[in-house]
Amino acid sequence: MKKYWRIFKVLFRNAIIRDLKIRGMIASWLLFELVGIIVTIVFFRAIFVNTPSLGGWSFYQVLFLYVFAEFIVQIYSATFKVGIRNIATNHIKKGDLDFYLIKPVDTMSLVALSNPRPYKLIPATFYFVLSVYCLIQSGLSVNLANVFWFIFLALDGIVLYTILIYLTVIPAFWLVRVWSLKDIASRINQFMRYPAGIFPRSLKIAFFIAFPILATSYIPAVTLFEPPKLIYIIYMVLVTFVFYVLLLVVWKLGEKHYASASS
Amino acid sequence: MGKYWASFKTAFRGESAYKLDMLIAVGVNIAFFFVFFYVWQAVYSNGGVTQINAYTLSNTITYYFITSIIFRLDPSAAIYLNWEVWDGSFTNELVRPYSAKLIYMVYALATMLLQVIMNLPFIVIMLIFARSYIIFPSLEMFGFFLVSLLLSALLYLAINMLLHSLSLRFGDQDANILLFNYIIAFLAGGIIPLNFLPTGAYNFLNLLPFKALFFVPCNVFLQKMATAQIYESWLQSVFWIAIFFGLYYFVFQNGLKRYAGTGR
Repeated sequence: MKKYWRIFKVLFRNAIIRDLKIRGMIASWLLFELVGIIVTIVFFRAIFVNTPSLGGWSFYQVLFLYVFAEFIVQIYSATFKVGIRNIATNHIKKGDLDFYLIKPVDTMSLVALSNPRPYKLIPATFYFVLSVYCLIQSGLSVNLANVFWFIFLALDGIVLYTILIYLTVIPAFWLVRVWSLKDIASRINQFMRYPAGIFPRSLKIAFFIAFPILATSYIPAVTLFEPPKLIYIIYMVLVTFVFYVLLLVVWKLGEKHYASASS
Repeated sequence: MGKYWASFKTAFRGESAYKLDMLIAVGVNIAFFFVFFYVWQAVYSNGGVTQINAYTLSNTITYYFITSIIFRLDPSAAIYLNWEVWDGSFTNELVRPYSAKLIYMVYALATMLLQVIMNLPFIVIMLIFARSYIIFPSLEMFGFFLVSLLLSALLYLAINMLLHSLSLRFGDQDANILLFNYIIAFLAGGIIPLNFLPTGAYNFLNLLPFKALFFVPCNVFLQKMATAQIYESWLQSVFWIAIFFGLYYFVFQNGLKRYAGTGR
């Protein structure tokens, strides 16, 4: 574990040096995130003019969930996104994975850690501040147990989200030239921004069990707003473990299939 | 003209070589429609409202059905000018016996056409899924809608060509293209119908050219515009298309003087 932390620190430091050279572009990305926040608030305002609740949640609860989901996405983007995306776009198609396979570390972890984007932590901070604001404005009483289990489940949610996204790009081992696999995550994650109560039973089953992307944001958020439920905590840990094992199995199968031939 | 037609066909064949890639790229966007379908269904049922600013639930679902189609006409990802200026391969297009200004539009149109074709199965899925909500216009209005859609695609193309051409002078515009497209989609009613916004904001956005991208085609499909209003909006669209293409020409010509061809 220490070894991976050291590798990540080196890669992260290099990424900061790289990012500081393209400040204009980073400013545009940050502006994009800010505009996104403004549009989101306008969108929810327009919705809540017409309804007191959405899926049983108030304006600030829904905004909290949206912002928290965005926070998870930004943390993932800051750490693993580009590395994982490169599997779909470059590593397998061009044979670049060879360079990772020969290194004396776990290939799957190294690929994920290989291309951090530190500047994404800035919008993550925006979202964090906004989520705290939403929590205060919601007027709900939150005790220490809520906060503790929320943080635990939020960390679990980030891990689970990363595992799920990793699973969406692994078919690249077999399909080779399907760049769009990298887009699946950014589209499906739209579902995790809204209260589960608005979705029908079939979608809930799909996104809580078969591909539990809704669980990554909704379960931590509901644990903050309501008395923590042991069943949710056990479920999150269990589902994360199951999908991690699944990821390992599929990755190994993919590695076996990988021919190392570039195109 | 023949060389552009040949380039169009080549680009179309090139893009369609990896059909599964394009199919997934287009197909994953169906999530947008489903998310908004359930959100607005919940708003209407929870709020106990039958209309929001003269939009029934069926109107709103149909609105998002049409925006899902228009988003597939988004040329921002179909234009490679910014990318090729960025990596220097733009020089290859400059020395070829056609206008570099036109060829990127030809390539973009080929990709947009393929996106439309690839989107057809997903349109059918959306239609089947939301069949009890989607309202169909009369045949005459459907014709008007198709013209509005064509003008929307051309305006979208003109705006994006302008954004891409800025790369010749100012370098990589990837982040700005994404930023402006997001802002434009919002201002055009791509994320929320403009008349769901406060009156002041609606009146202001009505003055901008962007409404022709989403809001106008959707309202033509929903038969919420009189024929005279539709003709007026077409004239406005043609005017703005000419303005944006004119600006593109100007920025491209000026940018070319600065272009060093080194890439990075």
